[in-house]
Amino acid sequence: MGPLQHSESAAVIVTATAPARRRASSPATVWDRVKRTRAAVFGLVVVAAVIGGALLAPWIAPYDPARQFTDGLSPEGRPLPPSGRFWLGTDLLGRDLLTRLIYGARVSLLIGVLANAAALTIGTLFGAAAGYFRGWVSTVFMRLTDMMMAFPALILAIALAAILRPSLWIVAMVIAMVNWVWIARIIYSQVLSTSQREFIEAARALGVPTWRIFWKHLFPHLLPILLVWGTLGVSTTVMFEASLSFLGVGVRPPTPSWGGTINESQSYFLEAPWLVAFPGAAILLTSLAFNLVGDTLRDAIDPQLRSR
Amino acid sequence: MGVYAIRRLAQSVVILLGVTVITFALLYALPADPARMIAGRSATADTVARIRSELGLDQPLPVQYARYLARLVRGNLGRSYAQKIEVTDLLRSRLAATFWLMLGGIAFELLIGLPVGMLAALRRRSAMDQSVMVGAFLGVSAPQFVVGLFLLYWLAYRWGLFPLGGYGSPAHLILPAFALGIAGGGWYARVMRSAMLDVIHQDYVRTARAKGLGETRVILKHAMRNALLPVVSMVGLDIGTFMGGVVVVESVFSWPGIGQLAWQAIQIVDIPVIMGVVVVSALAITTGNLLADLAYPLLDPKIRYG
Amino acid sequence: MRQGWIGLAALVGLALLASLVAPTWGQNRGDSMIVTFKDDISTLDPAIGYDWQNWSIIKSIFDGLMDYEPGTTKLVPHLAESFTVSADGKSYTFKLRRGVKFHNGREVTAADVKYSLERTLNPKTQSPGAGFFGDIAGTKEFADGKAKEVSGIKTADKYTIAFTLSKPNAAFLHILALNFAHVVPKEEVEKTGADFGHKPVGTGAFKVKEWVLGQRLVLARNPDYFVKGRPYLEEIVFQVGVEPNVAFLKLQRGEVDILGDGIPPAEFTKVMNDAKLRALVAVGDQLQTGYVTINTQVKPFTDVRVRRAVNMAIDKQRIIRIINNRAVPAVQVLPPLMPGYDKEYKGYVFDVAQAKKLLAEAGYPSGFSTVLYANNTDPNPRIAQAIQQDLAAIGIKAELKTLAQSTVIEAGGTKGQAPLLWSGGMAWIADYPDPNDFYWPILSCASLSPGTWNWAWYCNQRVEKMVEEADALVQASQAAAREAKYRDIYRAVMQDAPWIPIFHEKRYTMHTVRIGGSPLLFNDPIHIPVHYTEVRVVQ
Repeated sequence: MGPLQHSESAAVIVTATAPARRRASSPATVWDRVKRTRAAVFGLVVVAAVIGGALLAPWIAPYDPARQFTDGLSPEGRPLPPSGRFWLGTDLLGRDLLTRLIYGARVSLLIGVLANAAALTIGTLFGAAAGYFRGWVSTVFMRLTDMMMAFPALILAIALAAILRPSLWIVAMVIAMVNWVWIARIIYSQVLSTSQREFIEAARALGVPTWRIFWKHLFPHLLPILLVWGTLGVSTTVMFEASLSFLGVGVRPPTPSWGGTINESQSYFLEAPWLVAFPGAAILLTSLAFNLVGDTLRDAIDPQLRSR
Repeated sequence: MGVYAIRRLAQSVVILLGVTVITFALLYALPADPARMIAGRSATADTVARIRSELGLDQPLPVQYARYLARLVRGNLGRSYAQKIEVTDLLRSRLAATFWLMLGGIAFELLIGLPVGMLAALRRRSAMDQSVMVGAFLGVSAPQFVVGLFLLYWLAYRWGLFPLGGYGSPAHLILPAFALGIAGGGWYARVMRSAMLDVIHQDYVRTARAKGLGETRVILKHAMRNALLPVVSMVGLDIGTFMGGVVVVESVFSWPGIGQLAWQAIQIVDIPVIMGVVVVSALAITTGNLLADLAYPLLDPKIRYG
Repeated sequence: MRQGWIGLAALVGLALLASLVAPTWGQNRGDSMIVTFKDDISTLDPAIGYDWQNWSIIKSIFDGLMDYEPGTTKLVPHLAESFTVSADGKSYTFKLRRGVKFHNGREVTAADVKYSLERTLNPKTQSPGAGFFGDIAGTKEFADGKAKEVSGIKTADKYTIAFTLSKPNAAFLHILALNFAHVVPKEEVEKTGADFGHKPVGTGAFKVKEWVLGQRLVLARNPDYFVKGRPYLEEIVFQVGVEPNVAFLKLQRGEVDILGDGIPPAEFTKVMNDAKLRALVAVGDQLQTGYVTINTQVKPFTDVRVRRAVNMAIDKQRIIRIINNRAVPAVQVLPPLMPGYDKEYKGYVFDVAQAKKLLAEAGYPSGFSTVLYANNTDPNPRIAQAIQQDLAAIGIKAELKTLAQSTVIEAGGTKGQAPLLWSGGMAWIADYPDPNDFYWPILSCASLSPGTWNWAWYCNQRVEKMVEEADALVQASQAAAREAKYRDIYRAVMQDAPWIPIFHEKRYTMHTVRIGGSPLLFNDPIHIPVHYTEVRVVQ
């Protein structure tokens, strides 16, 4: 039980005065810590590579992502496994999978980050407000989340697909609308308990403004769970985009996305495993990379959780 | 607590009303005509019009909704457009299966997520922690259809340990529940780890430890109880969403749950069935979240409502 | 740490427990057959059921005056013993077979035939098939509530029923073979009311034994069936909610006998390359054409040259490769199995240069932008993308809208909305094996109105006249002349190019070795996936 013994008494400091914890997280030390962690470096490299790939797709991708090669399918119509010509094999239409993954990073990254961030923001605001203020605010906000959850997102997506011009913004909006509720519920429970702790009550008694209590005292305690949610959310959001695009809300074929590639070829995975394995690996690697970076950043910022 | 629960149940009526109104309006706005779906390829325009008026779809939206509501308060959810059968019968036939899958799914999520998350927190930064993290992301990222088919192919088809999908015995439940557990377990593990890390540094845990209580006791009695708060919220949420149906897992494992019913109904715009599913899941969600809210004070006595 | 081990131990324990139960699943089934479906079976009411899945199940529970010789499209009297057609083709008289009994034991009479048809025509029944019988005199008055009965349906005596038509229709006998004209007992319908579709009582080879919603439907043999020696099977079990990929695994393990939804596309090439699996597959034609409708009312498709150009732009062979060669290229509206199919007709040959030339002549040398609608279920988005690429090759930029089926149907039936629409996933197979079934509902001026399936919004009065003339040739002796006329009709239609015919899908039915009978039965053009009354257990 090593780490436990080594924990410092930072919590005591926190209870007394908040500014004490600021000292540890000046920008220089944050960077120092990030640099020191190999995992974080690896994460950064992956994130940078994905962003780079998305931006530079037209220059680095071997082919046109929409091009259906006549020799990209076997005479029986089977996709081709990885080869010298098609490094990661071809998809069900005889298109180059590598090319489609590189281009697919654009949609998937944008959705994974954008929709996720929107959901996190809305969810945190609602959850924290409901947990902190109690009373009618809590009732109204939390019943609103109940209602949003019961609401069939699928039907909303179908309706939007038919009414509006499909775009990534709508996808992001729908995903945010569906996902924020979860975050709100979790944050609500966290805040319910955290806001009863001594240091918050102390701050309240000292007349610290509410926004300051939120930002300085409450938020750092929510950060770990938000990071969990945000990084795991990258994967699920990318897959969610695919289902929404399937219903016609999002990108239109032949625009590639990682989730879309998995979605259209998942029933083939016993016969053509590369069609699921490569985009799946891309999603897994990207969300892991975000997690590594996020974890390290959080450790650096939050001294209470630091253990050396 | 009792008063609180009663007030919450009363609020769920409002939620139900709100959800049905919005869904109803949305279905109405949907550019898809159930009458055309029923009528099929060869029907004349005349036939389509007659079917539409028999279904009452030619009435204005408020009239349709008022009629629906009037029936709903008497417990009548109407008849399926496509199957011509009472929606209550359709729902009843799938409720038990949905319930068992919900229980099984949550059981596996907790079984996988909690111990693994706790270990990761206690052995922070160890190889164990790292592999739990990778495993969690793998579980969350893996498409459920692929996981399901993979489990069926190896465990059921090749090794014959389990039935190839279907419903009827506890053996049938294990694989679909496990598939749900793999995905959800990743979330639970990460949340549990993060909550544990937060809690074990807090004063009362420190105090408990200082009082000379055994380490296991400290963790189980004091740390874990508080760390369970977000987990309880997630269970509450899972009760609601799983009771609303889990389309992919049900479909791969031939599980006769509500998700398959909903999916088919949406394909053909079977409005009464869609509304029925929405009502069930609204009730389940309010119940799940209410249970979670009632559980918080048991874990953290400082939490009080009112 | 202990929790982890307990969890693992529990999992292992459960697996062991499960394996104890496992061996009982693949037991000997006797004279029973198991069929799997992904979707639920909807109503079995013959007046209402109208999807490919319940169509043949209904046919095994109910009977009509006419039926087809198993495995063929040849009409034969069924509940009728004999019939006569007047010289002008406007009156039909049927003599009923005597002693045919409903499952409840009562004998079928002419009054039941009349009742059943009037039930289909009654708007309260909400039958999708009411429109098929519009040629019977007095249907409109009856549907409007102005008449208590249909004047064109008369019962002369207990075993004689006569129909009077307002205009001759050569396909009328086919129409009487439709499920919508199958005979139901009035007393049972009145007893069960709206639930009749779930408690069906007919005259057919099977009756419903058990129906567990969302799980299975079990049919049991009707020992009193009027066709001697039929059915062969004691019992048919339909398992629903079974994913095709999983059904395929079940079939290989011998747990099910027939893949109701066919071979899953992902496994198709594997099956065809494996001698053992290949032996379980029956291949045949079906009455189906996959086509793209070209909206003749939307610019620039109002110009026939543009429509012809897009017809020449599509590489059908490549599209067929995408679906693992499970089809033959289509050059015309009718499928090869249909009378009136034109073997000589070559259609628009794939020729990009010629297509570009035509587009230039029409004033679009550099193409234009348009929209292609398609259903979002596999393989339709893929086929649509192949079409999109082919159109791009002649400069036409088609935006792809792959949407839920209901939305696509709505778009097709809305005036001026869908310029191009790939019909796959919605192109139902023919209702009956007569060439006019491909004209009236989807290409005629009569169907040119919102909400119908005339998605090309096509209407050519000259062609309409030709069809009317052809349909007046009702006598058996005129069949050849009528077929020739239909060849002209569909040549004329293709001249106007309201469709791009893409392919005719072949049918691949997979079954275990236990199930046998004439190979024709596994590709019956009317009964899908198999003819339930005629197949038998051979092992």
